[in-house]
Amino acid sequence: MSATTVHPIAIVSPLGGTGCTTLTAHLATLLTARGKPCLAIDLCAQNMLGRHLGMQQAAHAGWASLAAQEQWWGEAALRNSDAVDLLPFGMAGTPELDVLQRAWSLTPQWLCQRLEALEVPVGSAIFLDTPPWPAPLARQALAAARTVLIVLEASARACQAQPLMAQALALLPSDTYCAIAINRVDPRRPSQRSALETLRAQWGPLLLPYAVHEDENIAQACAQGTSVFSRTPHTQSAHDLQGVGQWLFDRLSAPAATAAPATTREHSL
Amino acid sequence: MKATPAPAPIGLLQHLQAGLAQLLEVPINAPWRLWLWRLLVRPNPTGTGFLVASAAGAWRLLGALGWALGWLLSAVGTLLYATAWPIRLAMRALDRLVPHIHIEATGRWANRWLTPMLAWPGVQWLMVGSGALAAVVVMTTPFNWMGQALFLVLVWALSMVLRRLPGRYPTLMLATLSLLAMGRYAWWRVTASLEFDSPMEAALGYGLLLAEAYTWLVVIFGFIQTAWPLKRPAAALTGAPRDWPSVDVFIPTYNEPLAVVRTTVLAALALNWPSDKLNIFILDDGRREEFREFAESVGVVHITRSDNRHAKAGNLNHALGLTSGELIAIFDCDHIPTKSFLTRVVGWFQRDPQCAMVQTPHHFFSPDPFERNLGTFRRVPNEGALFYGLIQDGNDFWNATFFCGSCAVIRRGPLMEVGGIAVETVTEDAHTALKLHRLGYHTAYINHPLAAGLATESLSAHVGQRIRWARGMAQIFRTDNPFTGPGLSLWQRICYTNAMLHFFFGLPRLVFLTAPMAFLFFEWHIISASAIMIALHVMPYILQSNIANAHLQGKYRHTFWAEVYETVLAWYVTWPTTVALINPRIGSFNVTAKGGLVDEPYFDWTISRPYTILVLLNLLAFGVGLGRLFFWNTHEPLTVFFNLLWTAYSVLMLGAALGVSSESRQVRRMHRVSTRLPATLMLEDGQVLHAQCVDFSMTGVGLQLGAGASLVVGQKVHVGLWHGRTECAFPATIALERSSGEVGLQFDTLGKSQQIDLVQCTFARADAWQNWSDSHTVDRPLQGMQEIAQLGLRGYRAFWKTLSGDARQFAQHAMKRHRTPAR
Repeated sequence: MSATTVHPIAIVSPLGGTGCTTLTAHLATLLTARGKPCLAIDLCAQNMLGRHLGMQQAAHAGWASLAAQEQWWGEAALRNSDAVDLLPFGMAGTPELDVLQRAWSLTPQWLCQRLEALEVPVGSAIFLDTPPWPAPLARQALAAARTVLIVLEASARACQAQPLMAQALALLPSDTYCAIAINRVDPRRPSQRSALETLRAQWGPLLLPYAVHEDENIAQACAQGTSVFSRTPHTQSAHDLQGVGQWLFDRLSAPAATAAPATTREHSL
Repeated sequence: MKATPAPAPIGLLQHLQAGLAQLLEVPINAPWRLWLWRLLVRPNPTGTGFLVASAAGAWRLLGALGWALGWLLSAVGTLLYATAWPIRLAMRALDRLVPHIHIEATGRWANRWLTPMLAWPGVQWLMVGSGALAAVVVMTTPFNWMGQALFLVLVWALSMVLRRLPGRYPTLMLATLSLLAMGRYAWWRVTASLEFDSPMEAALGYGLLLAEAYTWLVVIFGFIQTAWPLKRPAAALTGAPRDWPSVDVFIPTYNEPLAVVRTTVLAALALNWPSDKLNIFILDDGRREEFREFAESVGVVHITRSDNRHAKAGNLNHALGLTSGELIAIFDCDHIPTKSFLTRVVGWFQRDPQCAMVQTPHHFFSPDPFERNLGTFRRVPNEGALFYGLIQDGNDFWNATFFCGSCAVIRRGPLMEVGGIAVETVTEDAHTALKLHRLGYHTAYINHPLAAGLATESLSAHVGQRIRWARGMAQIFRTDNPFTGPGLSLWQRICYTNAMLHFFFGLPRLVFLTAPMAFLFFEWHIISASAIMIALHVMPYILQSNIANAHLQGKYRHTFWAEVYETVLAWYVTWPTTVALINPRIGSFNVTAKGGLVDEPYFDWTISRPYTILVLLNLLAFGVGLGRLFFWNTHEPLTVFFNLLWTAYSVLMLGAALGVSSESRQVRRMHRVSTRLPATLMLEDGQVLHAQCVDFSMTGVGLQLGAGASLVVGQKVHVGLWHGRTECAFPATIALERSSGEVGLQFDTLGKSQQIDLVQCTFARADAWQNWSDSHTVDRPLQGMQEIAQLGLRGYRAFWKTLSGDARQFAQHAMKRHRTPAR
């Protein structure tokens, strides 16, 4: 794999529970439906991405135990009925996780190397669903990605995480493109409205224009192993996610997206 | 012929006769008169009597006649369409000519050679002089019928090409052509058509000429007024917000309900302007406690005074004495400003220190009575569209923008210099602007709808408002004539004079509606020329001015529609303008009623009475004319035909005017503005549905939902709407649910901040009225004519229905009275 033929996308959040995994699953589903080959890699030990992509229960076998045993991690790949490729984390035991933790801290290039060795169709999008920042894998994912999508929620803790995330973004290579999506928005709650205003002031144009609404249908779709696009396409969350998906699709289809991001990022720092 | 029993061999005929007899319910051996009678009159089993039966017969006869007339009309239409084939062919050929004209290259060439030439001293005047001389020659050279016909064809062909060319110069050329055609007609009218046989003919003939001369004058002035619409953009604000001028917002009210005023005040609170430089005042001439409480609760000032002298003008002047802001924004209490109003308007005050007033259009989101009763809302530009779309923009070029009473910002200094808002006339707004212009101040017009309001609800209120304008303009014309007073440029004089002359259309319009009757009833020839020559001179004039108007004003006014508006108003403005001309002090101010409701369809008899008389007179004249055509005046068929055509046109216009008088029902108390806005619908179980807001008001919204939503009436929900990127949620209850996915919602009680949010998400959005006129159809004069004809027919139907209903009621009433003593 060479750096130009695939497009790694890191979905990162400094907070837990902002819906990174939901967003990853839906974006991968959407882009696949639009003819973009997608591989979604679950980098979280919670192992939930598989559930979002249609597995009846959490994947037992996954890349984590393979990698801990120095085997090729790609063996764990699965494909769902929407033709989205998935590399689940799997159920890894504590000793295995210890081995991995050590490997990650010793080799900052660990993820990058394994991504480069993956054999995926040319032009693939590789979604990296990361554990909360600054977990080692999240940091490696950020370094490996060409596009970084930071997921926040409209809350005080998200506002407080701004300096942390800004530091992380400052270390990114100059040709990495990043944007911020706000998830789980409920306009009925006044606290969210003021938090949104703060976030807008903090991040400016880095913020995507689509805030994804908090919607019961997302949880229900996950429980049924499907996406809101196919289950309840008339909901606002489906509409919002389509917006984010369209933005990502345009981003991936853009021929040379190297010059623009540098300027947008400067703004946030 | 007598219907005797037929001999046996003709059995078939006998059979037929028997069948017919059964059908018509006549005895087979009845006299032939009865057969004919039965054709028209149905026998009445209950035996109500001869009167009713014959009425029904007459009714059927009328129906048959109507059908025949309709058939005849459609046949004539088809025939006309067929004979117009060569014209269409020529039009297509001329259209093909257009791409061969390289307008840009020509323009560049002209620019290169003409600009240096025009820079020489005197050359400009030389060119204007020679142009004027050429025009005079064109207008005054007498032609025989052949020459005039050639003129007609050539000018028409030229304008067919010109109207396809982009840019302003072809437009000016088109207008010039129409002026030339008009000039020829006028010259010919004055020199060759005024030899009368009798004093009566002379009197009427000169009267008609005067009426025509009025229209010529208005056309020439109007041409100057709108020659070069300025299309002024909004000027950006300069400096930091703390250096921006302070603004007082005046919201005058007299008797309007709080529900109407509240929205305006909330929108004013949402205006984008530094809050320490923005003060909002409710000027309440009704002195209502309810208003004082409301003002207190939202933090605006409630101003009252002890008397109501000089109505709105006095109210504003009173507030001027109590406030001190550098600029004054005035909104009628039902004109809701968008939040960007001040940021887009005030820039011009910074840029031009002499600027005393900036006006923006009056935009209405509800249909006026014309639009409602004729069904033209958002399809055909309304009465105001020409004024705010073109005339004010044209005025702006000559620095003659008028103040229109609302949706405007005035600088305090100049306003105090002219003694505040003018109180001498009932149109204080235009008069104030005139006074500002006399002192050399500038005014500006920004043609972006930045505020919107309710149109007048009923026809009588609408007519009342127009009467006030007409009276006020006539008053200014008399007391402070813009053509003679000091301080104005020639062009400002022309713009003001035309604005006032416009309101004198009443009498000339009535003259045109009745002129052919002089010939049809009394055989008076009030134009002494052969019908052919009249036609040959009138046709280029009418044709060219319609082509030029459609090109110049098509976006703002559709051909023929203005005629309908003027026809309706003509009778009502004639008297007030005449009175005001004689004595400008007579007449009082009347407030335009708004926020009312027409809850039952009805026919406004009081408004339409004069038109009923005019219609009947015209119909009678038409009938007499038919007699003249076939029996009495067969030696001058063309003259009769010409007058018949004129009468038919009047009948048509009057029909449309009657259509306006037939008030259709309004359903809602709070008018809902139709729109297309993104919205969300939040259910109590945590689901959030995507929706489109299709209409809104302060009390509820209509949403269009995608398939798959299951809602029940009475369900509690939240509606999400955006202003900018902020989404606001409003508690609501489902009031109506249709299978098509349309949902009607009623807001629950909203708090103060929620109400402000709602205004911001709806009425006060910066782009709220931006693309409003996009739904206007293109002006197609012939189609418009057809539509007006249909409306005319509908008007007559409504008129006839009301008339026959009333007659029936009257007859029943009379019969009852007649029968009671018999019992």
